Amino acid sequence: MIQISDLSFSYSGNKVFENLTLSMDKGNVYGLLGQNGVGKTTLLKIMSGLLKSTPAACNVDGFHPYKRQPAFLADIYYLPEEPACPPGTVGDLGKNYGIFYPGFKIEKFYSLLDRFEVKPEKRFKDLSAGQQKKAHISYALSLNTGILFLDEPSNGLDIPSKALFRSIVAGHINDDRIMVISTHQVRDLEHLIDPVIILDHKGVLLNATIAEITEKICFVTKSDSDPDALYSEETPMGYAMVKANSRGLDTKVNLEALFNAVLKHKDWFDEHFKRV
Amino acid sequence: MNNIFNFKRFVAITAKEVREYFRNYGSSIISVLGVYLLFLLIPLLVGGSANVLSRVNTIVALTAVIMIIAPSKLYGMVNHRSKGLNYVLLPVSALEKTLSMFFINAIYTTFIMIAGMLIIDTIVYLIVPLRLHEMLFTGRNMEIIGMEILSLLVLQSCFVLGNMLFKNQKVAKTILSLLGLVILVGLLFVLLFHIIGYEKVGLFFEEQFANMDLNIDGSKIRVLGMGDMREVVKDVPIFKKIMVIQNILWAVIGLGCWTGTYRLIKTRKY
Repeated sequence: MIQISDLSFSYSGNKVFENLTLSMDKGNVYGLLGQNGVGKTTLLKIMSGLLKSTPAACNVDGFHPYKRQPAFLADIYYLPEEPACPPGTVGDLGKNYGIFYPGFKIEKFYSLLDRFEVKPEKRFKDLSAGQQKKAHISYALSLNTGILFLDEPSNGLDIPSKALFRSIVAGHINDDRIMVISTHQVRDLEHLIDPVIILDHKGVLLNATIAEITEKICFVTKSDSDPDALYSEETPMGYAMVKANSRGLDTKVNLEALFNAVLKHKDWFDEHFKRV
Repeated sequence: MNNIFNFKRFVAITAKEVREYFRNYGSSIISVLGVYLLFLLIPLLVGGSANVLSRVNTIVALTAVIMIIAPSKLYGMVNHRSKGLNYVLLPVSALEKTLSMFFINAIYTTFIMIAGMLIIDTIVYLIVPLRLHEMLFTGRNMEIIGMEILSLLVLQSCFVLGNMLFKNQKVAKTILSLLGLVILVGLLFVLLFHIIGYEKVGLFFEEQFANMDLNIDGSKIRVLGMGDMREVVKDVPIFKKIMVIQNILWAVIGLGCWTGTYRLIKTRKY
């Protein structure tokens, strides 16, 4: 379990978080959404021990991440948006680094590489940016860590690879694992992330499961705009709207519309989805 | 799980660094070994010879170059914001990472360089024994090289710390910082001597030298380096004390640099 309590963080005097409180439970794939600069990557880095926090402000599975104890590091992995490539081959990454993780299985690494059509004997420098990303995703998933932080994992992937990525990640969800995916590409991960966390400079705007979201709001498309809609966007098929779900409709979540609705009606969402 | 030190984890990270060693530093090592081979061969080709002293000095100088560059070549990315993540996130404690860094930089690199150059020297000696005068692999020569290597280890520890402190141009910035420190210490001594009085200081050292019982003709002393200088003055009480202080200072600097490196590995923010 990840517990963030009253976390405050700033870069050279510029406040990123002030009293941020948040908790994440096992068995979920959290989608971490927010505008540029709200601190999504910073939060992932704090939770993985790359940036400093106080022990009380950030607790990950009973550990203070910044201590970077081997027992903690063996059960987490953070994949940055643009991971640096080691000098050797893709296979070397597993052979040289994977062996330090108790859950790592080289067969699984090779099998994921195979699914992404990346050859383990290829040198990183000979791969395209997208192939490098696939190799890193394969590595991150094959480590089998209990906590996995993925920062913009679908960036740089081609369309078939994005679908494959969703399918592979879906196959790696289990009750003992927490995945946190920070992304701007919400459409790429629409069917994957649940719960959804939306951050802004003031803290958490929304932290709710898909079930909670669809219970309280609905996503409809109509030919005419509705002034009562929380958010409305003109599309070729009419107006895509986010509305309060007063009639108990069961609709599919449109994450992009949800995100815009939350940004537009912060108080409404705060009132209806208040939770820690 | 022991979160401070575990021998299996230490062996695992050291083995990983050894596996990656030649990919990162192999070409530099081979180049320097090649330079030593050329140093032996060129005088032979022009009809000259390479005496023991010049070979020992060359081995020490080339080893110094390799030892100074090693930290930035092997661990240059450790404090890099994105390239250092794989290293910092490895489930290995900061102490194990520091000790393996010490093993690779100070022991493994030094051993490979010295062993490589001694092998080359021995092979060349066996081929043309008359031109190289004597075999380098003797107790006395090894003692001289060993003493110099001990000093180089202290110097290298400064470059290991510099590698962790500076983000780019690590070797150049460390050299400049060391020069700055040397100048600062020099100025402090000048100030100290100025306060005491230059004449008093001069008289004091003259007195010390006058008390020296060399038992040899002083005019024939040929000082070839700091090692010989130490040999000459080692029985003078004041220099004896200075050497003890110097050795303690070297140990403190070396230990301080490695402790600083450990702290930076442990607390660096990315």
